[in-house]
Order: sequence, then structure tokens, then C-alpha cells
Amino acid sequence: MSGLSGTPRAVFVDPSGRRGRTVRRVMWTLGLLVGLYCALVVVALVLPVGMSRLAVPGLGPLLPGPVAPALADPGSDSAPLAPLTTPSATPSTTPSTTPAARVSPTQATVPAATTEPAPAVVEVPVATPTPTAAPGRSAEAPGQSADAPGNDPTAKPVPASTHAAVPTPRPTKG
Amino acid sequence: MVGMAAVPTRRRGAHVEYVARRPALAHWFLLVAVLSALLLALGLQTLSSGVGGAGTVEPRERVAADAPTGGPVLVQDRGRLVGVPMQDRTVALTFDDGPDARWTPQVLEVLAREDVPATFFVVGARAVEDPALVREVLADGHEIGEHTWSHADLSAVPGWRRNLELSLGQLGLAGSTGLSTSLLRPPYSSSPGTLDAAELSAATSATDAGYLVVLADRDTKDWSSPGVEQIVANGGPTGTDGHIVLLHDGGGDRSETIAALPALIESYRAAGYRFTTVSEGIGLTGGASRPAAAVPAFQGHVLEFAVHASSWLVTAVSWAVLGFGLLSLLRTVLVVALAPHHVRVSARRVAGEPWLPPVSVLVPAYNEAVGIERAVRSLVAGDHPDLEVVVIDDGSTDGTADVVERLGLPGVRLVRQANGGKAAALRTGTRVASHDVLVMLDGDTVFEPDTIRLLIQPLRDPEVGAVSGNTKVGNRRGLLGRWQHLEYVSGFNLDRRLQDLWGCITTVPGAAGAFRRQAVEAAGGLSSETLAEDTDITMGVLRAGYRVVHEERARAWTEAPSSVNDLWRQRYRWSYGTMQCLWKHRHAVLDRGGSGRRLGLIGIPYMLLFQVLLPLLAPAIDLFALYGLFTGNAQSVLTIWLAFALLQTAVTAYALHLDGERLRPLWSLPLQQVFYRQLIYLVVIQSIASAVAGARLPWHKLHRSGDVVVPA
Repeated sequence: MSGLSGTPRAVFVDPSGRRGRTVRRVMWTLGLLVGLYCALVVVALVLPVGMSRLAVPGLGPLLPGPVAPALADPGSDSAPLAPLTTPSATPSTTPSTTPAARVSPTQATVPAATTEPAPAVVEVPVATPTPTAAPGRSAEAPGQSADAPGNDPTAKPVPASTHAAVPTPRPTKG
Repeated sequence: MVGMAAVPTRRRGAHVEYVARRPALAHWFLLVAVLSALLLALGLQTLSSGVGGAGTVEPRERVAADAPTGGPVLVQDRGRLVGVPMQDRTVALTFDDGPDARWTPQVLEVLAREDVPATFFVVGARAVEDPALVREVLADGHEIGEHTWSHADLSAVPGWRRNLELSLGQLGLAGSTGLSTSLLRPPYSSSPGTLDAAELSAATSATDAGYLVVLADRDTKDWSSPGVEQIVANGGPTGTDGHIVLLHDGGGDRSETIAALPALIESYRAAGYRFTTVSEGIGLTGGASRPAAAVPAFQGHVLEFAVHASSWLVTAVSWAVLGFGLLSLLRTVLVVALAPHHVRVSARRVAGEPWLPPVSVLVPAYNEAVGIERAVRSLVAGDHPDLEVVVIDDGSTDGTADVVERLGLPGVRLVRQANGGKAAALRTGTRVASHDVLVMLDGDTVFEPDTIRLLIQPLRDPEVGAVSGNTKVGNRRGLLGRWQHLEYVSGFNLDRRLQDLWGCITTVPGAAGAFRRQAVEAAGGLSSETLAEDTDITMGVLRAGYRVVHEERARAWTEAPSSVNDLWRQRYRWSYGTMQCLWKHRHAVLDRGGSGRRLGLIGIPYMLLFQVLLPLLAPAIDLFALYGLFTGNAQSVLTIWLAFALLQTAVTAYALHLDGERLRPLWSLPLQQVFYRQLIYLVVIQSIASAVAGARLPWHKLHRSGDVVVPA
């Protein structure tokens, strides 16, 4: 074969072409695997993570007594239930120092949560441990799926997985 | 490194070149995939490298007026941030910036000894690096919170980065512990009262996402190493209020923290405090973490793997780049330092009366009608007295043989053969040549009058088997011509001088070389086994025990490819041929002869490093440089690039000076970096792929214009 480097003895040359096909297949496969890996990592990076929107079950009660000034906000659509002072008005308040101010629904919300000393106090004028009261500090809370048992009234639908894996006892629906 | 081009130690093309066949794309696909992975790895490293030192900020000038005051844990309540306090007489020790392989275990040990629970705010990027340690923290009964992915200042980064920091921080925990946490401590935070407007807004958006933002009310400032006593004083109890104490288990030397910890714990015990985790302290009985769902957990695992793989990959490539950078630098230093020595050595070889044996000049020609007349005339016009020119027409179809015949020059013989390739033509020429000193050149090479005489002088030493001439680019118009000119000059005149001194010149260029007939025969003659018959025969001569030297005064003017296409084809053949030779002569290191072993120990590894491996790494080097350029490292990238460009320019200027060339074309040198260099390394990658695949390269004739200009 004149004009071709491919004399039978030419270094590297595989006249049958079988090696070439194998090598090409291996390269395509490797490239594909590496590409898939890249795609997987990029997806893992940018796929929004649904945070476990923690039901801070006792958040209401956790807040310093005069919590949630917003609740008093007439514009608010939530049931006005708490004794209202702005937090800043009582900066030093801690649950125990202002027992009267505490929103008691804790008991309703997290029955078990009563490890803390304060919650026993129930002399809250408005707040009764009614179902709506507790979680309700956001009226729409019950409407949210159990996945997002947040007491965060502004709770947006949480993308993807939010794990309600530990179901927080919720007093909704009495 | 940016300044290093692939080694250009090569010679003129042969007759025939390959034609592009069915394009094989597999290796380009693989290259792109690998570069993407590398880019991703770099990006991931950047994303994780925000991991800064520990620290809280001093209260700023303008503290946000509406900072919540109720307590150190901020939650959102109907669109407003509300501070939740710790219960009275409870204290939560919190440790930021871990896990840290050195300090976290020590903290755990103290906590275990004191039987005190704590809360660890973990940096995601560190968690995935040492997931076992995070699991250990959990196993010890402590609580885990998020401290972002890379310890980024959430109030200072753009919104997308803030979201990414939070979500990747979650993934880091999901991957290492399978948990999702609602506790977030923003890096550089301290107490609610110190929040400025930007931090407040960052905290608000975190609470929007559902986080409890855990600040502290007792900032020990242990990150500043204020002394053990100061840490205890800063962090100790006041009154009966519940406290969250800010400490660090990572991000720097934490020995003071560990030393202060027992005393700090004791001070709270003495005041009647109970130690809790943050979530328990604010009354969250279920804790603040939940098992992560399957998808984020999987994402976390992917991330964990990617971080490890990326760090491995970037480290490996960085070391390779550094290694090659140092090798290239070393080579440059050697080349420049030894060049003057070579000038003396080579002058000594040809000192004294000229040696004027009868010489046979072999001119293999395949379709060289354009340049053959000029080449042959330049040969017979030479000043060597006893000369036989043998033109071997390798089955040309353009009447090359007729052109030669018509010349009717005395002393010029014409041999016609069926097309068989350059090596076959040279074999024919060797057979029919009348003399024992053989000069071989390409059909389009133009010799100067004294070229042949100068070229054969070193052969007077019977140990010398072959002499390499100095091939120069005759067509230097345009960037491509200038670039190749510079490449030939610094490649030939410097690199080959160095190889000469080492006694292992690996290529006597096909465009200009002189051989001793016995040496060629001892090497087994010219072979068609490789596409680089010149490198092949040179290595064969070395292995036959002869020395090969460089005679830079013997100049041969050659026509360099003038189109990118032709250049690509030429380099493809060179590169493929070189690798064939490296493989064919791989056992040289076992040779008994001195020059064969030198070839195996020095010449072949040298070629392998600079002509095969370096081009293979070059795309990664470019990617590193580009990445640095566009991600804020522009200054250091440009500095390195400039340093190498200057070095390269200086070396090339020196080479031009040694060769008696003008310095003017130097201006085109920096431009090599943006096109020529890439072309040179990509063609090497292509030929490596072909070699591995065992591809057969059909030959193809280069276009000849015959516009070689020999300066008077």
C-alpha cells in the first residue's frame, strides 16, 4: 500500500480498526459519565432545598410575653388573641418574669412542651388554648400542609421536601 | 506556565500528510467533559473557600434601630423579627466554625467530662470534609445548627449567594448527618443589639425561609484570643437571665477556648444555671432538627462527594501545573545557561582546516515541482567541491522529475520510483548514493552556499553519526509565519543546543541533516514504521552507539505551512510520528551503548514530558488562568502570565541573537498565547487519541507556494 503509513508494521497502527472502535467507545462512555457527574453536581447545587420548616410549636409561648405586636395589628387577618405589647416595650421580659403576659396556648400546642416552668400560667385574658389560638397566631397556619406546620404566618409554600417527619402535635381542629 | 508552549523541537514536513477522514469526536467530547468537571471543581472550591476566620463584629456605628430586643433567638412573627429569650437560669454554650479535626474533639472531650450539652453551628463546607466528626458531635448528645456553607457574611453577599449559602449549608448537614436543622447562626454575628441594617435584613430573609436565627447574648470574643480569663469574664453569667454563650471550635487556634471552658462552665454552675441546647433553652421540646428528606439527603451526599473529588482534582492538577512550571523554568534556565557553552563546544568541533570528503545529497521529492528547481540549484551552487545530488522522485504526479531532468545540471542524478513515502525514497537514495557522507533534505529546502560544507564538518569525528542542521523558516509573512519562525529559532537553536550537550539530540530534521552511511546502516536504515522517519533514524543512530550533534551554522531555509489547516496537518503528523518513535525506542534505556542509554534516560523522558504530557495538561493550565482571570484573581493571573511572557520573550530574544536574527518579530510572541499555543496542544491531544486508537494516518501533500525567502 503505497501512500499509507499503515504498513503492517507501523507503530501503533491497528489495521483491523477494532482497537479504534473500542477506544472510541470507551472515550464516549467516559465523557458521558463525566458529563453526567457534572450535571448531577450542578443539579444538586441549584435544586432548592426544602428546609424542614420547623414547627416551632410553642413559638407563641416562647415569645416574650407581650409578643407579636403584629397580632394586634388591625390589618392583620389573624385572630387577635394575645395580650399585646410590643416586644420593645418590654425589652427585659422573659417568660417567667411576665407570666401573665404569656400566651398560654403552649399547652394546647405542645402538650409535652411543658418542661418549662412558665407555661402553666394561663391567666391570659384573651388567649385561650383554643385551637385557633395557638398555631393560629397565624390564621392560615392550619391551612398549611402538615409539611409546613410553621407558625410563621408568612410561610410561603416551601419548595420540595419539607419534612414533617417529626409530627409536631398541633392543636388544630381541637 | 502560561508562557510555555509545547516544545517546538521539530523539523520540516515530509512529503505526505494525512487527510482528514471521518472526523472522530470522541476525544474532543471527553476533553470538554473533563474540562467541565475541572471548571466545576474550581467553582466548588471557590464557593467553599469563603471559609474565613472566626470572628464577630464589633457593634457598628449605626445599629439598626428596630433590632429586636426580646432575646437572642430571632424568629419571624407576622412579618416582624422577634427576639426569643432563653429561659431563666439556663445557658446554651454554642460553638461556631467547626467541625475542626484538631479542636472539635477537644471541645467534645471537655463537654463530656463536664457532662454538659452544647450547640454546634457547623460550617457546611467543613462538615462535608469531615462528616464523621459532625456525627460524633451528634452522638455525644449535642445539637447541630447551620453556620452557612462557607462562613460567608450573609449581610455582605448578593441575594443569590445568600440563598446558596443557606441551602448548601443545609445540604452539608443533610449529607453528613441526615438531618435538617432550623437553627442558623449567621457568621460574624454577635448579639441582636449589634445588628446593623444589612445584618437585620439578612436575618429577616433567613427567618423568611423558616430559620430561627440564633444570636448570642454573651460573646466571649474567644476568636480574638483575648486570654483565658477574659474569655471566662466575657462569657460568664449575669443575673439570672438565660444566656446563649458564643464560643468557637474552629477557624483558628482554639486552645484558649478549650482552656477557658471548664472555668466558664463552673461559673454557670456556681450561679445555679442549667445547661441546655439552644432549642431546649427556648422551649422547643422536639429539638430543632428533623431527618432530612430523601432528596436533600441525596443532594448532600452528591455534594459531599463532589467537594472531595473537586479538592482532589484541583490539588492534583495544581501540583501537576506547578511541577511542569518548575520543570519548564528549569529547562529555560539550563537552555540559556548552557547555550554559550555550546557555542564554544560546537566551534571547537569544526575548528581547523575544512574537511572536504565527497558528499551525496539525497533530495526526496514528491510533487515538489514548484520548489525543486530552486532547491537543486542552491545545492549545486554550494561551495563544497565534491558533490553528488541525487533527486529521488517518489512517484510525483506534477512532473517534478521532468523539471529536474530538464535542468540537466552536471552532478545531479535523478532516480524515479513508485510512490512509497519519504522513508522509501531515502532508502532508495541511500542505496544508489556513491559516497559515504549523506546529506538529506526536503525537496523544497533551500541551502545556503556553505550549508553542506558546514553541515558535514562534525562528521570528521568518527564517533559522530549524524549532524543536525539549523532549519529556518523562509516564509515569515503573516502571524503564522512569524510564530513558526520564532518557534523554530528558540526550539532549534536553544533546545537542540541543550540536547546536544546532553548527548541525546532526538531529531535530526528531515529538512537538513548529514549522516554517516555506516551509522544509517547500523541503525537499520530508514524505516516506514513511523511517520517521523527523521526522529526514528536519529534515535536509531544514537542506539547504534554514534553521537549526534547540532551544527547551527549550517542553515537550511524551508517553507513553513502558511495556512492553519496545513499547519494542523503537519503538526498532527509530527506529533503522531514522535509518539511512534518514543514507543518504538522505549527500550533504549536498556541499551548497552552510552548514547542509547542516554536517549532512554534523558532524551525520551524529555520528549515525553514536554511534547506529550505538557500539551495534555495545557488545556487545564489555560482553564485555570481563565478561571482566575474572571473570578477576581485577575491580578495574580496577569502577573504570572506577564512574568512568563517576559521570560519567554527574553529567552527568544537571546535565541534570535545567537542565530543572528533581527528582534523585530518578537512583537508577535505574546499573541502566540491566544491561538498558536492552543493549536499546538490541541493537535497533540488529537494525535494522542489517534495513537491510542491505532488510527492509520493516510498521507497528504502540503500545499507549496515556493515563496521561501533566503535573506542575502
